[in-house]
Amino acid sequence: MIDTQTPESGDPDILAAELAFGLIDPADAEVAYRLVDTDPAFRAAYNRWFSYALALFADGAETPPAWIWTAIQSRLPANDTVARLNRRLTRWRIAAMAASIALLATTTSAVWLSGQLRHPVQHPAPVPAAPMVAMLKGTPGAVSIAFDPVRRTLTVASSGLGIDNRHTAQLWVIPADGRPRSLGVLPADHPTWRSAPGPIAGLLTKDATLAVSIEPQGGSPTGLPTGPVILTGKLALAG
Amino acid sequence: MSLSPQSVDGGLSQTLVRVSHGDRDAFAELYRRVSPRLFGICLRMLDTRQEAEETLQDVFLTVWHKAGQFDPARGSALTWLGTIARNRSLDRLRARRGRPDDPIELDDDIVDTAPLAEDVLAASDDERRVHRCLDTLEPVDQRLIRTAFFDGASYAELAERSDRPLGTIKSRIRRALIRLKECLA
Repeated sequence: MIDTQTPESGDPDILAAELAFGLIDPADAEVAYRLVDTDPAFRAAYNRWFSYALALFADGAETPPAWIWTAIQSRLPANDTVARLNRRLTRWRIAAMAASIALLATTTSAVWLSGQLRHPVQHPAPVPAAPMVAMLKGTPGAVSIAFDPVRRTLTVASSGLGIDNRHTAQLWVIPADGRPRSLGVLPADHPTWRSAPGPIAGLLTKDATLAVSIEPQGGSPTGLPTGPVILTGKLALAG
Repeated sequence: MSLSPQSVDGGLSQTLVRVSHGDRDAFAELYRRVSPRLFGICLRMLDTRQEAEETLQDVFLTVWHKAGQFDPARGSALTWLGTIARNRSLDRLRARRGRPDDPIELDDDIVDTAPLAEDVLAASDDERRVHRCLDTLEPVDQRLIRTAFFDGASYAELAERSDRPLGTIKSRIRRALIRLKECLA
């Protein structure tokens, strides 16, 4: 800015300091930044002052929680396993939108049909009685899952997910329609089991995809995965 | 004085150059080495941990995409990385609409919460020296200089927020910078 009230210091080193500490209005800083580009001595002074300024931050250094690295990796482009999982997640989200529209259409036509036909709704095929298992893999950690279709109990053990205490791992089943349904959040420190309600139990079939995403404490606020997916696997029948 | 390359760099420039070639191992190494420092910058500049965590992700994605723009001949890797962390945090601060800037109290008797040089842990000797020299300044001047850097506040904003004439703020900070320069020389 044009300074009319105090004499300029005239010292390029102080100008470099003003620039490094961000004291010069952005609109007026252009001239000084051009000096950084063109004048090696000025650039050296600027870098030195900026390193002083950074030193003011040195006391605040703190190791970030492990999930941040996972999230960064998941956002890197191409040729990355986790990135691929998360591209799939985007497709789920799109599919979920499509599915809810389709569901709306189905509901509408079902109401219409019930008036026309009065046929009882056909019962779904009986679920196989053999227990099912899945090993979810990815980075980091592992989750093993067993599902007993007769008792409708789901048993889950996880290890090494590296999630801080402000986030939680959440388990999902992604059936053929592509819309993830929550199977609940996973405690970090012990295996857990729960009863799957009927509609959910019906989705836990052979080859159904299971996934674990990182969510805010308490679980996804939207009912769909909001954080990166870190692990996936498929349900297989125990022979 | 300049911060010695060994204490703050230690091959960081080469790692960053490898990152610019798309080397993911180098990127992981870079993250291990500098994420605490850069996270510290985000935490210091932003109000909530959540914002700092999100901004840190943006910082490293920027680093991944722009590593090719780093020129070791023009400055240290840490300066380059620190600039990105500060700029991303400033972007975040500025994107938040309607956030009132806190007024700056210039009363000398306000206790400054900034750590004293001897309390600055895990810092290099050079970094402790910067803190020590900053400590020799008037508390008010320290506060102004820190606010400039942490909040991205220019002379004009500092004048407005401290309710002082621009000229007064400018000359007082310039005097402080000259003192700082002499102390660090």
